Amino acid sequence: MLIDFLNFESNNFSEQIAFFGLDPAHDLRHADLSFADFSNSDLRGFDFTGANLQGAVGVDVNWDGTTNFQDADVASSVFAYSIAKH
Amino acid sequence: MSASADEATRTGGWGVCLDINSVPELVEFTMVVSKSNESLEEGNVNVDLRVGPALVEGPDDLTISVSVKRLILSLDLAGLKIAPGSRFGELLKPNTEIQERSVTSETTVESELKGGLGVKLDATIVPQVDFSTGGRRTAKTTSSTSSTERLTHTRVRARGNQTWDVTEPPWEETKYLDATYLNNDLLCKVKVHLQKGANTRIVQLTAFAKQKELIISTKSKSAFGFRSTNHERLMKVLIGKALSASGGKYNGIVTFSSSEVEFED
Repeated sequence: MLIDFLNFESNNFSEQIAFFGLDPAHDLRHADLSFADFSNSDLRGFDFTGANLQGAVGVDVNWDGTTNFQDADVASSVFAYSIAKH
Repeated sequence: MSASADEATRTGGWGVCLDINSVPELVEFTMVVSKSNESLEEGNVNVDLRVGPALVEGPDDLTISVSVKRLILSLDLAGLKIAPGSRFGELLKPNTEIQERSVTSETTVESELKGGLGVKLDATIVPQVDFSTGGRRTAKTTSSTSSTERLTHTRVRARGNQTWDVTEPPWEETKYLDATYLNNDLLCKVKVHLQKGANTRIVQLTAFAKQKELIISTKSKSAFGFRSTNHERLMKVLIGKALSASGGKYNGIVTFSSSEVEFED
């Protein structure tokens, strides 16, 4: 499965999560996702509690109040401005 | 993925002890709870803790190297409580603080003065004397101050909520844990905590790390490389999840080891 994933061409984060069978509501807590690319991903319902999201980028990222950023490090990321504003 | 889980039941001390180490090459600990010599109501919790980088064989000739930056030990007690003032690695700040500073100050002054006097001789005309000085004057002052500062770091540090943090000093070159951190050390003492109708006592110690505190690298005999940062990050999430010995729902916490002692009055 790991090798299949390495050959998986899509760089879409949501699609990769689905391919790996990861549960976005639990498995991404406290993860190192620094400099990840969230372009064209639907992150509604994702839980990034305590995750390292420093430098994460993305265009057309769909996320709302159901996306959990509690204790996440969002410095210099695509989420930083919106989270700081709230 | 094959992680050599290690499960051992031991008798001795205060009761039967069950140690589970999911990847013993990476994190191995054993706990012994014994009656204290000082009081019949008290017990000693002694712990061995060894941490080091480990190689885990993955599928398709993939070798995964895993090491831990920060490990947390968490103690759960039933019918018992930690005896006050008995925790290992308690960073107790003195009530009165004294600051000592040695300051060295050095000042250097450099100056330069240049002048000129010229006589021009010519056979046809009267000699000319040139008194133009064309002088240059420079001054340079350098001062430097040096001070000495002493930094301390407690590798196994007691924290709130009955936990201990295991870390290396931030100034160390090795950023991951690689040593024996507890060598049958007294982690804490436990005291019988009176609870109505309960005569079972449980001491459970768990070692875990947040998945972002793991350093994971992969090697393969075949040509190998990650397509993107996303591929690399999510591969590490999957490996962290596979390493966790926790039977419940994975929530980004990788549980490596747990040790439990249960006994009755």
